[in-house]
Amino acid sequence: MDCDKFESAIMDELYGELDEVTSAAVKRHLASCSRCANLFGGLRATRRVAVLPRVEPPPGLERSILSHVDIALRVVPFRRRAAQAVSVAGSWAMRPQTAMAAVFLVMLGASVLLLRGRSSRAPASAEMTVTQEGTPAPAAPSTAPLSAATDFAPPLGPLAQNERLGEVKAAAPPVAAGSPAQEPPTATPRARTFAKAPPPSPGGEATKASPARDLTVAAAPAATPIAPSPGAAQGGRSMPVAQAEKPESSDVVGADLAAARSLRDTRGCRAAIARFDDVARRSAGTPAGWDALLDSAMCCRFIGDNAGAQTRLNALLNVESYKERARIELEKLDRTPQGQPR
Amino acid sequence: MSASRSEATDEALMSRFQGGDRHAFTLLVRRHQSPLYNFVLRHLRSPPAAEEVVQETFVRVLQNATGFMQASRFTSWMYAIARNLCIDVLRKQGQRRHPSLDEPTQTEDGPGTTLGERSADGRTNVERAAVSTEIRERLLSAVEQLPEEQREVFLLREMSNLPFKEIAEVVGAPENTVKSRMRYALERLQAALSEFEEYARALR
Repeated sequence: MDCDKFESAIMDELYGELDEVTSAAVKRHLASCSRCANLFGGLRATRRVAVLPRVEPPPGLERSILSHVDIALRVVPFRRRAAQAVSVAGSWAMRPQTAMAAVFLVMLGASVLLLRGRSSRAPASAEMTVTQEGTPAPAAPSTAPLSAATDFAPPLGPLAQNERLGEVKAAAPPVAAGSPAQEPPTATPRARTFAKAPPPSPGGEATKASPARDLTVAAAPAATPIAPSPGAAQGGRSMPVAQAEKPESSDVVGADLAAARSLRDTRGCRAAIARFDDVARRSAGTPAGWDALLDSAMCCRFIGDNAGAQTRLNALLNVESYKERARIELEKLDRTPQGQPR
Repeated sequence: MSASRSEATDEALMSRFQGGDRHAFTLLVRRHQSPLYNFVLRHLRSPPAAEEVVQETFVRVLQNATGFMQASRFTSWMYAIARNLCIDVLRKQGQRRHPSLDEPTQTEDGPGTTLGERSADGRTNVERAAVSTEIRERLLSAVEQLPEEQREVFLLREMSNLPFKEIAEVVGAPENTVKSRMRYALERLQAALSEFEEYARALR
C-alpha cells in the first residue's frame, strides 16, 4: 500500500470499517511510513479526546413518544384502513356469485325498462292495425265502409276525366273491395304500385292495354292523353286508385315538374307532354298539378294537338286562379288551325 | 444503533410492527430514543425543541411504516426523518438563535451551569471523566463552530455511531464526501485541542 491508497482508507481504518486484509496492509504501511503514521496518530488522538458528553433524554420522553404514537395510531391509520377496505371489497367483487348477481340485476333492470317503454308508447288495449310497411296506424273507423259500388267506375270521357282531375281531392274516393286498390287509404305506396303497373286482365287485350296514363300522347297524338281507350277498361279501373293517391310532397312534385320542363327545353314538347301529364295526375288538385296541366296544354298546342290542348285548358277553367289564363289560351287556340304546329 | 446478535435487528422489529406487533415499536423507541435525542439536541441546541422533534420523528416512522422497505436500513431512514425535521425547525426559527448548550446560564449568584450539564441526568460517564472540564468546553465550542455539513456528519458518526455508508444515506451525499467531511471536522478539532495536555497524552 502506498501513501495515496492509505489516504483513501484512513477514515475507514480510524473507525474500524476496513476488512482484516486491508487493515493489515494499512498497519504495515504505517509501520514503514512516518508521515502517514503521524497523520493517523493525530486523528486517532483527536478522536479519543473529542468525546462529546452524552445527554440523557428527559425521563418522560419514552412515555411521551408512545402517547403521541397512540394518538397517531387512532387518527392516522386511515391509509391502512382504506387499504384493508379496498382489499375486502375487491375480494367480494371477484367472487363468481357477485358477478352472477350483477348480471341478474342488469337483466332485471333491462326488462323493466323495456316493459315501461312499451307501455308508455301505446296502451295495451288500444286497437292497432299494421300496414304492409310495418308502421303502426290507428284502426280505420268502422263507419267508413269500403264501397263496392263505386270501384268499377265506368270509363270516363276525356272531359269527365279531366274534370275529375280538376277536382281538389281532399278526400280519397272509396276503393273497391277485392281489387288490388282495396287497401285502406293509409296504404298509399301499395295502391300506387298497382296504379303504375298494368293489372292482369282476364282478356287478351290486357297485354296490349296499358293504364290510362301510359296511353298518353306519345302513343297517339290525336288521342287525349288521359282518356282511356275502350280496351283500357282495366286501366280505367285503376284511375280512381290513381286519383286516390295522396298528393306528393311539394318538394318531389316541384322536382318532377322542373324535370318535365327541362325535358321540354332539351327534347321538345312532344317528349315532355307525357311527363307533364304524369305530374298533373300525381299532384292533381295542387298548384303544381295545375302548372303541369297548363304546361302540358301549351305543349299540345305547340305540337299542333289542339284537341289535347283544349281538353287540358277546359279542365283548368274550373280552377279559379287558372281560369283567366285558360280562357285566353282557348281563344288563341280557336284562332289556330288544328294540326298546325306553332 | 445496531442490535446485538441476541437482539432482533431494527429491520426485524419494523417487520414485526408492520405485522401488527405494537411491542416491537416500543422496543425500537427504547433502543433509539437516547442517541436520537442527543443528535437532535446538538443540532437544535434546545431541549424542548429536541424532545418535540424526537416525538415527531417516531410518529413519522409510525405513519410511514407501511412504506418502509426491508432492504433499507432503519437507522438511516429514521435519522433522515429527524434531520429533515431539524432543518424545518431551524428554518422556522430563522434568525432566532437558541442559547448554546455550553454557554453558562446567568443566575442571581453569577454564572451557573451550562445547558448541556442541566440537560444531562447528572450521572458521570467514564469518557467525560477522562477529560478535564476545560478541554471539554473547548471541544464543545469547537464542535459548535464546525460548518454545518461537517458538524452533522461528526454528530452522526460520534454520537449516533452510524457507519459512513448510512451517514451518506442520511445526508444524501456520496460516501467519500462524507469521509472527507469527517476528516476535515477531526482536523479542525485537532487544531483546537492540540494545546491541551490530555491531547498530548492521547498522542502517545
